[in-house]
Amino acid sequence: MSQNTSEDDEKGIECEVRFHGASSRITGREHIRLILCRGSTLKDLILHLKKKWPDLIRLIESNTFFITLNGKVLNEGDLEIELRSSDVVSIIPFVAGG
Amino acid sequence: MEESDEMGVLARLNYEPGLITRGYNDRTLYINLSTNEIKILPVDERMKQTFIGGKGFGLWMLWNTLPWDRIVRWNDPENAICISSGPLGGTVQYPGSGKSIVVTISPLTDCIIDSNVGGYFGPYLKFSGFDAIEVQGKAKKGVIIFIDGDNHEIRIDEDVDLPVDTHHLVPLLGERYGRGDLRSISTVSTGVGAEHTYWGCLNFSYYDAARRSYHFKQAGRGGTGTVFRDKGIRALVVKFSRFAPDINHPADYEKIKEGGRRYNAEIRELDPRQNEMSIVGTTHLVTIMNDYDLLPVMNFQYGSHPDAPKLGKEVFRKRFDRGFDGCWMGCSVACAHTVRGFVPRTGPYKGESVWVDGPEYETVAGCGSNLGIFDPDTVLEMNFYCDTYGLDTISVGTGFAFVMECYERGLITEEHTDGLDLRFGNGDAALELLHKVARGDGFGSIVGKGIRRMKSYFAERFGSDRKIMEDIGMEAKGLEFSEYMTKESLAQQGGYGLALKGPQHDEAWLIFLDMVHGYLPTFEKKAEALHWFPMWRTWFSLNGLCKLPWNDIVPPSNKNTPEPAKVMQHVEWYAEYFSNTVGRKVTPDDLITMSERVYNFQRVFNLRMGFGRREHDRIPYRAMGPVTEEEYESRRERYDKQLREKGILDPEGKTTREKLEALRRYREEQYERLIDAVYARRGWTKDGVPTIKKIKELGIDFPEVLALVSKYQ
Repeated sequence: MSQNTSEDDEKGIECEVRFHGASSRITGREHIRLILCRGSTLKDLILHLKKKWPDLIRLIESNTFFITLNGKVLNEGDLEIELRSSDVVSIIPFVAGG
Repeated sequence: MEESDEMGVLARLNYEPGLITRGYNDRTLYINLSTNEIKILPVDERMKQTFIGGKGFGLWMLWNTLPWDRIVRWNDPENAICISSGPLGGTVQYPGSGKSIVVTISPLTDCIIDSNVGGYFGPYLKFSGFDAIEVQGKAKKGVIIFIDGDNHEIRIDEDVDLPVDTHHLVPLLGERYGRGDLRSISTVSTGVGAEHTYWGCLNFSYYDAARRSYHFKQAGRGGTGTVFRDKGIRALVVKFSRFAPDINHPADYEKIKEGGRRYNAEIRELDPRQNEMSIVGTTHLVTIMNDYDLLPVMNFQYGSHPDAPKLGKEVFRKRFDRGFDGCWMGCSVACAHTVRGFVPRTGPYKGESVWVDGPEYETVAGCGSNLGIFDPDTVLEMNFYCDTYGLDTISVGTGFAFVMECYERGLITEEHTDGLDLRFGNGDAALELLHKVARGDGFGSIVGKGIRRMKSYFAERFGSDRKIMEDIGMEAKGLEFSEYMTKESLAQQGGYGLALKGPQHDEAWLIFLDMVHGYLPTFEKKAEALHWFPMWRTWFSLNGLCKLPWNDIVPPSNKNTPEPAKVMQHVEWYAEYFSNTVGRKVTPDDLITMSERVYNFQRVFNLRMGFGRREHDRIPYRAMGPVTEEEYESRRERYDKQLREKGILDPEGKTTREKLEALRRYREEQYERLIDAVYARRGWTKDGVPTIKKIKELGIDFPEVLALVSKYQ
């Protein structure tokens, strides 16, 4: 589904992806902005990330990270959620505070 | 024990070496500085069964040593400082097993404070033959208490004009008492700030052989360092060089080795793939808290700031010195990082090249974002000076944030601040205020007494509006809040408000479970969490342990467990760890019961001190919701939605003031309902007092305890 994504498609929607914990070491940055085609889902976004950083997906699939959309945790069933402009998707490890 | 005629030695006691069996020496050390008495006291089976060790021992020793004819204040000679590790403390096979727990009466809260700290002191004390130390009385002149675990001697030495501040004092103590073996020495000390404030912390040292320097962890909360200096103690020094891996003599050493290997292997594999605490410490939390609107900004007004990444983990990844940074041997989390060759730009050590031990998340948030400061060098300088002056970075951060907001709102002016322009973001002014606080100079002497006293002082002397200060002064029970924004998390409001010692997150950190994961949607679930998590977290401080290995590194299987927040696989490992050390088979539920005993006992102790009831569990409104119209407007969408969805008020056409007031009524009521639910779950009365039934069920029905709680049933 990566054909649904383009970082320079001005007709699309602009989302931000933030990388926390060890995920930022894999991507080499703490956040990116992505322009996605209208109608793109969270699943499309993850496939795009997978293509760009295969290790990142291995991290997500290790069950020790979770994904949030606008600050709320998503479950597997939420992958079909259609993204909107200004949505913030975060890749975050389990944190618990000392 | 004998009084000594030897020059500079006030008292001396030679003792029989101890033998640790299953984590215990079965004896404690008592020192009275008013009389120079040194004695060794037995630990009986009931003390071990009921109070376990660490904080539990500290509470029990303090309970027994205080007179009953009056309420003792922090600076009365009868107050004692108790330090204990715990039966698992000093283990090197498991991660995070070198903690000490300090218990005393706090100058900030006038009640019991406990503080959990790394460094080698607690384990070395235990290896030297003592499960705990209790220091009571006051010295006429400054003293150093020396526990020589190699030669089985305890001395009270006169202070010989040693430097006051920690980074100069401790290397000299190491040379003087270590006699060439610096690694065998661990110290407890503080600095000049502890003499002039109620924010004094205690620095616990450990010698880093690779870097050839002493480093420090802090027992930060509640003014333990202030009590320490008030007693005339310059330092506690323990010497021990005969370390052996099985020195704790656990019941089943082979199983301890096996369990520890498994735990460390998991951490070594997973920490680099999760939070990277062995590389960036707890600074990884800064950008996470910022992104979830939970980072305190400008005195907890806001939860995020665009400049927060300037204080994030990537900045400190570059600043931290490379190398192993465990605050106790064998810890694979190793999160205690340090910055080499930092050169302060202000103050008495301006231009000197120093180590900065830290910063941790709390210091970054407290001395950075909460002051509107986003310059890492200023945060590092605040960190360095707080440590060497012996000041708690959390209370300094939250206290200064309050002062800055008062200044910005015109509640105080330059006339009151000795000319300091204390607007948010002014790092130079914050540093200058820090030096004044440490010296007890002018306005600094008022600030260093803490927010509760500042509120009264500002109102009475400067005519400042008390009502607004009550709302924005982030203290409860007299203790400054630690660095999390709780406005949108009712569960975390309870976590702070119901914490026995005051608003410190070590009892309950529920903010992510509540706000991000959505695990606690109902009052019942919140109340259950506010029972289980404080009890479980208490358990670490009974045993000389650090909490980080428990839930800041999680196994992949955790996600699909019924209650992932509890990380039950690790809880089960801790049950094994305890069983194999102490030789008593326990289950995870037993661990909770151990804590429940001590937790309820501490609540009763608060009652004895004149606190410990519902009225003492209140929190300022800033912790519950927006105090000002600007705060409301910064999250208008969220607040309007809540007003609408909860049927509180239709926000359409209403002024911000009207909405603010309606929201406040609702949130204050919610907080009261939460307290009702938690008290019921804990087996407490509606006034927050443990019921007699609960006291008996837990086996803490000592006659004095029953007499106390009976008055409030």
